[in-house]
Amino acid sequence: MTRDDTSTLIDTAAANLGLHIAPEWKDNVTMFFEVARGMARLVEETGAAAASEAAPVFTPRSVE
Amino acid sequence: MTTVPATAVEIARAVASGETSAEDIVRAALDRIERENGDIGAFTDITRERALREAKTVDRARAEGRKLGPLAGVPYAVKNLYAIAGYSTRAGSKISAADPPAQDDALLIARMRAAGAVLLGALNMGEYAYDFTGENAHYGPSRNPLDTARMTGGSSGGSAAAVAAGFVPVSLGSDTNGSIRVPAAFCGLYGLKPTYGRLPRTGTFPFCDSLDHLGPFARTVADLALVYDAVQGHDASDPVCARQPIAPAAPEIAKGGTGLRIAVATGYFRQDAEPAALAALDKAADALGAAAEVEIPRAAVARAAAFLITNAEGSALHLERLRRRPADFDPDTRDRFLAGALLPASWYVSAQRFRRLYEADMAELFRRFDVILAPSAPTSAPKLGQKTIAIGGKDVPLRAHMGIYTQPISFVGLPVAAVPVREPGALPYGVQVIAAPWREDYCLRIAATLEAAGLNAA
Repeated sequence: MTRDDTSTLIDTAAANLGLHIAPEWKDNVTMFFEVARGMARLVEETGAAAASEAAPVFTPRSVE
Repeated sequence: MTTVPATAVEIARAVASGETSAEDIVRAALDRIERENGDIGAFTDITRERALREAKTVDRARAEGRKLGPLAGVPYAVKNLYAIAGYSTRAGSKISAADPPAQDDALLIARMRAAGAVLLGALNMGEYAYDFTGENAHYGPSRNPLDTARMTGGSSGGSAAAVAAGFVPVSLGSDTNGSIRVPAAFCGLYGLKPTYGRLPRTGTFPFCDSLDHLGPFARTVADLALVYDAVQGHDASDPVCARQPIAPAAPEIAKGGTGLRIAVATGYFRQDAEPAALAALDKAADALGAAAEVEIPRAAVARAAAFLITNAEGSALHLERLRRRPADFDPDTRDRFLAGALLPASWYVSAQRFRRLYEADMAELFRRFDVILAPSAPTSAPKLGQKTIAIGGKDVPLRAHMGIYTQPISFVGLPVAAVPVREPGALPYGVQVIAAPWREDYCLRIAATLEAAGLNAA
């Protein structure tokens, strides 16, 4: 994904969520999104997405 | 003028014996805070009237011959994400500071009060706990009492500063990715991040439900254990809080390290640290006679997954505030929250699934060892305002790197005692003493052994 693609994704997703990203904040937001992408790549390489049960298991509680 | 004993253990003993009154202790502590807090930036709210009322209640109980709690007359304060009845819960923010005052205290405050402790106020923190520095655009930084030009670390910066400055012997903070362990390291304190789910978070402002923990700071291990024991116990209103029996740690710490199998984390945990941080780790290992080394597999992935879960959950929590009032956030947190709101769901879910795999990795290690030692942070306390640190010969963003050694541990909720190691005249470094889930006793036994070995020589 190019920097332009990332920029477009951020603008589109932010608009869909009703978030306003001021022009002077955009570079930082983009940088943090790219950091997260790198982190996600590391996680995806483990195959975890198909290999395990997600950690936050919901346990229904009895009505008291 | 009342001389306040240095530790919670001594204060409780002096109050229980009638050597001094809780009121005298509390008045002396409040006077000092009001004189000196401006230089440190630890407190954002001082609860003077309430503190004097609580102190008088302790003194009255003693006068009537009633049994006093283990923290009778001990002054303490809490990170300002703990609800305090009658005060808005700032959580380090400008936005939430305008919320209506809390109706009730956070549960851990209620437990501290039941033990006889006296609340002096609320403490500074990084905005919404998304912070490793202790800096805050709205309330100013908490300053490191060892060198006020330096960071306390965060996000529980005020909790560390208040204890390191001697304003209070103990405080309560929270730790999602290192927010107790990093400030403890920078300020030369002991801290405890218990097992995820050990202490109920009821009545605290959340950051990231999957990773949020509460815990104490202290200047001695005995004080740390005393507070930890006073606040243990299940509470069903925190769905994460486990139904674990209360396991008092204070009676255990005298056992020391005898019989415990100790290893030093290598590989990932020896990369990217300042030589002095590794020297502090080695000094702790030597003091314990710990020769074994262990490589924690996939620690970098664990850190990455913790980053994603934090970013996604924290941003979802604040989504409405980000929509309505983005300009009122601290710029150092806002842009990360905005980015986190946009992450694909698959990244978050994969990170949660990896958590299960990594839990199994760590369980395997704890079949071979009872305790693992690792650095708390790659450096000592940076200067306030510093944006980068030199790691491996490169300048890297400070905020993104201060949690590299803490995040892979809290990611799977392991209990950790943060232990300071300090050479005379130098800034302290921190060592994490890590154990298997629910073995806080092991963490505190080793912490006490290191304390007794004199590793925190000022």
